[in-house]
Amino acid sequence: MAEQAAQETNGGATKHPDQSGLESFVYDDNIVRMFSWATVIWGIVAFLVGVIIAVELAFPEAGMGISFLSFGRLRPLHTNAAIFAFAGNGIFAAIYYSTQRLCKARMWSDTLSKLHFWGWQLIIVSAALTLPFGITQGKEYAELEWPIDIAIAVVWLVFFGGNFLMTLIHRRERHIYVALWFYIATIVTVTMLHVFNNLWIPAGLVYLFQNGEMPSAELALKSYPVYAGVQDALMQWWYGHNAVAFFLTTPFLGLMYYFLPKAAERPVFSYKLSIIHFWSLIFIYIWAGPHHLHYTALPEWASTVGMVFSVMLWMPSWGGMINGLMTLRGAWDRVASDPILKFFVVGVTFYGMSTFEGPLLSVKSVNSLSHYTDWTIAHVHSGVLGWNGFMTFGMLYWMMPRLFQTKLHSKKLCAMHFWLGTAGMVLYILSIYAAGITQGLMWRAFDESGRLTYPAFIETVTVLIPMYWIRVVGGLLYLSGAIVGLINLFQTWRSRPAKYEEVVHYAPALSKGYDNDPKAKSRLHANTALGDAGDKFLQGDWHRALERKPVKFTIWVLVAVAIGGIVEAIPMFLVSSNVPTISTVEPYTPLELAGRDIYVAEGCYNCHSQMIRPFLWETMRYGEYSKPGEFVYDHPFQWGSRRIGPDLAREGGLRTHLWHYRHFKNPADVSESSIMPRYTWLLNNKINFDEIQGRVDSMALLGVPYGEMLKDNNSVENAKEQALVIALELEDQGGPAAQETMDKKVIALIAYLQRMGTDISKEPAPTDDVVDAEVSP
Amino acid sequence: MAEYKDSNQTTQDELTNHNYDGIQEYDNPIPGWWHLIFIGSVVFSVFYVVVVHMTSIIPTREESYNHKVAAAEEIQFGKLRDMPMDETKLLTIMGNEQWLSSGESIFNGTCTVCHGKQAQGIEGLGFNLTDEKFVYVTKMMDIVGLVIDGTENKKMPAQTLLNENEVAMVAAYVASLRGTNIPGPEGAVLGEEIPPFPAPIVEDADG
Repeated sequence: MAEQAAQETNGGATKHPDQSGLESFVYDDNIVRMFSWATVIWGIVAFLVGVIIAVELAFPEAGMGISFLSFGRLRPLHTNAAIFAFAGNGIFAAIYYSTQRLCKARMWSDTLSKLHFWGWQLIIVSAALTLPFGITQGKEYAELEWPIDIAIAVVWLVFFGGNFLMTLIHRRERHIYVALWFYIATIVTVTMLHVFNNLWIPAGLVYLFQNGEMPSAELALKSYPVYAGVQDALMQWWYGHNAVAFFLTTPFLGLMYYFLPKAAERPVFSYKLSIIHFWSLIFIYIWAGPHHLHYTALPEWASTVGMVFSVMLWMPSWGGMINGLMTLRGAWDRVASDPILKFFVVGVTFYGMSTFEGPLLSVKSVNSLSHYTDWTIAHVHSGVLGWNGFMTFGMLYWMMPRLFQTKLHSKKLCAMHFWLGTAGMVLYILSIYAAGITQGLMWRAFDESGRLTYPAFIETVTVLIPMYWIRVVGGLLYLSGAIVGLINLFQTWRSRPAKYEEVVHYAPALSKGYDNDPKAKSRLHANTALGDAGDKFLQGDWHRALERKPVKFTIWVLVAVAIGGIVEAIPMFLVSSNVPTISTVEPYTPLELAGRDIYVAEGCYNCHSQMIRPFLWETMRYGEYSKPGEFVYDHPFQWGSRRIGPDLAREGGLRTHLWHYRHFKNPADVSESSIMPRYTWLLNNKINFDEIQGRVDSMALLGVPYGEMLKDNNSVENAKEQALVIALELEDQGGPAAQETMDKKVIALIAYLQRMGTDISKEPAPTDDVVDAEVSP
Repeated sequence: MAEYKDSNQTTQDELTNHNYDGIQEYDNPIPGWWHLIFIGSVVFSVFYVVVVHMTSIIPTREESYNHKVAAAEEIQFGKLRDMPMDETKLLTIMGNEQWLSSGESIFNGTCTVCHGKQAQGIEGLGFNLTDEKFVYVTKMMDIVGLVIDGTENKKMPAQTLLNENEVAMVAAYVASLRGTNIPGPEGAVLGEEIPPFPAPIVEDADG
């Protein structure tokens, strides 16, 4: 079917009437129009959800105690919408528009283009229908559950990647332009990241195979990553960091390299810089992930690798900024009057700022202050709102009038969008930087008697509330800018011609045996073969030849991006000293496992970390710092990245069941001015005991030693018994009658909370294998 | 797009012969400072790895943490570290403003979630600690026992994250609250009257 469509549309192969050997072709602008509209609409959705969750932090009652409006469930929707729906559709619009023109060819298959478009929108809709309902894998920006993961892999690699690569192969332009290099890197690397971070076991299928039935839709959609603890953390942040690199950076650099010179009508500043910054960027970026895990239980060598590669990444990133800003030389007078160029200038400037800040934050000592605070949040928003958002809007304002074959409805509204957006970003970023640094400094403050100045975590939260309100205003401004943009683009669309003119282009097919690339001559007089070869290499003409060979180019890209991941991941999996085992760490009980899955489903990791760093101010507040061996049964790891609430790594046993029960019912009841939402539904919704066996069996497949629990539905019985014990204790402490609570989700979650971080301080059982067990220092 | 306005004398830049959909590229060299910083960052990285991971000039994460803990213990606890856990220790803390304020800091981080910000109690979770009525306590050292082991009925959990000196400090602070009588939640005041605690031991301010 795809081939048929290709024949119909890529029927460009018809010869030019004058028999001069030219082929005629028409660009597919319809698909670009579809992606463009999707970008604007999903952008507004992403910004709106952002504003909602921003309000929830300043005013927690805004969530009204409704499960699918709670911060922990909506925040993943916000991040996924901003990254994959807004930025995603934006890069697809950019790629479909520019690739056709840079290749002088229509997209290879209209069918694949359409499958890509509708498949991607379906993925976004399914994200919106799962994440707010607690269907999540609990790993940041990779939350979507396994059936959607599979859909992403197919849509991305087969529909999008396949179509793109075939278009490159059937191009009529001899060399591929730098924008296309960045698109290639995007497609190859995102595929690799997505696949390796999403290796899981679907718990529902495990149950189905063993019992011939599916106990619930919840279990059917549930999966566990094959990695646990330290390894899962490494894989996740290899993915998470490179989602930033290869979803939010490389495709946008490609976008910049096409649309900025187009809009500025200026040549690109330096071709040589393009080459060196492209290869250094993609090679180095992939190593930088571990800087998200400084001072965690990740071994220090990996942390160092993450840091030094981030520092080395500074100039490769700035190569893109230089090429962007320097291309505008001679066009600065137009920047003042042209809002499109303003979007690009501010976008590229924000790119420069965040790629300076990135290496800075990856320096361990700086990171010790910034990590877990709003500083990181400010950093990513300067990147996404400034760089991704403004580059996308600049592109849309330049491209959409051309796609609608008319003029932009209003330059004034466009300028208004620019100023609203800029003002919004300034308010957002400044207030959240202030919040981050304030909180970071408060956490580490000691008084003269050597104790924490702010021992109660809540004190370090309430002080941020005014800044959270400023963020809300900033977000609203940015959102209103986008709405002004939507109106402007809609009005532009309304002035389109009754029928779009289909411009026919002509170009010769590429001839075989081309050999006209410049050949470097050695400038050296020494005339040693090695010296000459080295000098020729340095002159870079070999790269020109590579630009004619997209498949070879793609393979080299794959090699460049694979190295870093392999070097970091393989030792982490194979060298056991990276995760010294602790003999007293045991698997979660079936009920605790079910409770942990509730923790994941509610998105607790969005506000609570489970990772105490080896700093005095952390251990004085939270207890002994976390050890790698404590997480060996954590599929997935839940270390978190932001402490909007306190760390929970050693929460077990610190409070009574009753305290937790009342806290879930209404956090402010026991913790005055808490900004945690009420979790009343956990008090009412029942645990589905039948499916617990499926959860335990899946864990066992991943190597968790569950022993007797695997037989005869033992897990179910065990979970019911433990639930009864906890419910009785709760009743005894003054809580509701055990009969009322013993089958409620809150009991499972309390079981998990009371277990957290306690194994390390248990007395080792007198068994034979204690001798083999190594306890980390 | 063929006509450029060269207001900044960019004519001295040489164009390559590349042209993609009208986009041209200059053959400009890479700025010297770009090379300089890039090479500098590589040199720094090698230097960093060698110094941090291949020499012992910089203490490891664990060493530096343990060192800080030891130094902090000296500041926080001083000679308390040599005192056995008994009533004298608690009374000594009560007689020392700095140690007592440390006790308050520990209380604020650990106990307020159940006993309230001012130790006035939270109904159903923790007793008012500022009145004269006691439930599990008949003498000062009982407070220490409660912090270390919790209550037998699990209504109060053991505070396992505190070390011995921290326990002494927070217990002394709680003892010092007795009789400050901050109004607690509504409802009956629970517990029994117990004999008064001994007077704090105030030492000379030379140590």
